Amino acid sequence: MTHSASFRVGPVGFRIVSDWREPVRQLQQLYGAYPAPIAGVATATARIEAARPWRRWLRPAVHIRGDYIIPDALPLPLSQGLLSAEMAMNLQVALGWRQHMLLHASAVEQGGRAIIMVGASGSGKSTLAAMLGEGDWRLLGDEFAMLGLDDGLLAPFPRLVSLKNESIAEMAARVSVDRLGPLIIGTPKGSIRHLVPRADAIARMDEPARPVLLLFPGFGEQAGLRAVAPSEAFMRLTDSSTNYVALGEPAFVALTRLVRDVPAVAIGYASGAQGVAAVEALWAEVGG
Amino acid sequence: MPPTTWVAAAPDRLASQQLDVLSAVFDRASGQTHLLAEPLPQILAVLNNAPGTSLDVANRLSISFDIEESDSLAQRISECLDELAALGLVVKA
Amino acid sequence: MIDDSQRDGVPPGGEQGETAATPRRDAGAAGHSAARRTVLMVGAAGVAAAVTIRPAFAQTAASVFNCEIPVPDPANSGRYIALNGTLVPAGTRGAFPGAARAFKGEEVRQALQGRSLPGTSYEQGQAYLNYIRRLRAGQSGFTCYASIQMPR
Repeated sequence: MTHSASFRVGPVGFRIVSDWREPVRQLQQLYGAYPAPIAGVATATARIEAARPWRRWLRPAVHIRGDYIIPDALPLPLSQGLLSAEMAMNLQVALGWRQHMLLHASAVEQGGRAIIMVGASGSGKSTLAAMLGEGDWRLLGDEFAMLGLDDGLLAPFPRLVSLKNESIAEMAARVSVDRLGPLIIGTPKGSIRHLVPRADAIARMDEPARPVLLLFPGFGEQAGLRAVAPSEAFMRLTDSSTNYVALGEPAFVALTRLVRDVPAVAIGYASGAQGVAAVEALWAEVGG
Repeated sequence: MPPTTWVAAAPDRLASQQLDVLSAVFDRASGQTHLLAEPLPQILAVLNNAPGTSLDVANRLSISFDIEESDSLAQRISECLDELAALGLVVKA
Repeated sequence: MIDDSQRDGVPPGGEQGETAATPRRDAGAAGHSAARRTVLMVGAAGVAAAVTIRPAFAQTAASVFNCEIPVPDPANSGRYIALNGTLVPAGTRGAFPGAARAFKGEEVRQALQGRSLPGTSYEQGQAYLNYIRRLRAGQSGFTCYASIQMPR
């Protein structure tokens, strides 16, 4: 007996298949406002399976499978089934998607113009995007920014926001509880709780935006701004792309155009509120 | 030993974009992207369709550019040519 | 604050596409006429002037997923590992029984840099590392080993 859920996030139609009911039920609930895949066809299939057949029941352990897999990945306990499903979905997109250049970045939009926020895990890009997305901004995505190879526009990919550790309480204080998933503790990244993006982010997921500012947030770094040269931005963006090499020259063209056309700034900040204030101030300067 | 004569990769093999002080170069043959600082893009340009030694390169660059004072320009150019050769962007003629 | 003229030493880069090799125009430095020839910075001896982009995603993905390498792979469990890393029958003199648990990618990465593998004697660790070095595509643990070797 397998369980499945299908829904669309931006250009990607997902189908998630699971050996267990509970993670699928959680997905169906959290992705309840998302449309079905176009013509019912999923473009990315993710499976979360028992590590061994008997481990569906005995100390259940979840393996992530799909069109693309990372063999030898450690299984997660079933209590982290929802996280496994989200990781599986990310993995299928990260390794399989070819229609856009993928940047491991968050993005927000206002008036058709977008900020791309690039940083490693812990840089605060996800929290910053989530906080901005509760204010005057539309959340385009907290995990991947999808850059159009021809038009240079960002395609929204507003999947669930993955809140981690301290940012969980910070966001839980601002949003209604029905937008929050279960608290998942003891993951490789600490505690995780998923947040459903605001309704406008989901309803407008087919409206692209033009990137006008590249931001490199550094949570915990010395407060302040530093202009980032195009060549440095280029290196950091190639490093944060999951398909730059696979796409070849079209990605080179799209990325060089982006870093030449769009100013890039590194910001250090010590708290979410300080980060939001810095972004808003910067936005005013680029003529937002 | 006679000095090495170098020839640059065919220009249609490379896509180049100057970003700032660095140029990004995409090599269609290898699929690799390189970032090149001065004087590497200029060396590639003067070797384009015209093979030459490190001394030739130094002379050609001197025609187009003011070059900062250096005791051993040819030596430095030779170093740069080795670096370009390691990337496969120039080869021995 | 972020207009081009204030980027560190970087000239405005608006319209110089496909011209990496042509002399740059004087980039707004006051007092220089456009006719003046560009100064070429050839750089100091021994200083590298090129870097090749090597995205580290495969590495990142592997670390996110915390891969592991069983020694030996489950298909060969029970066999011993000789010092040179080959699999030999159980009980072979000078060879070692398989590791009780799979090693984490990070443990192997550190061991390849000279640290010892957790819970092993020196020779045992060397035998295990030699086994890991011999892994081929399709064997359990190979992808993990390959990702460890990816340049950062």
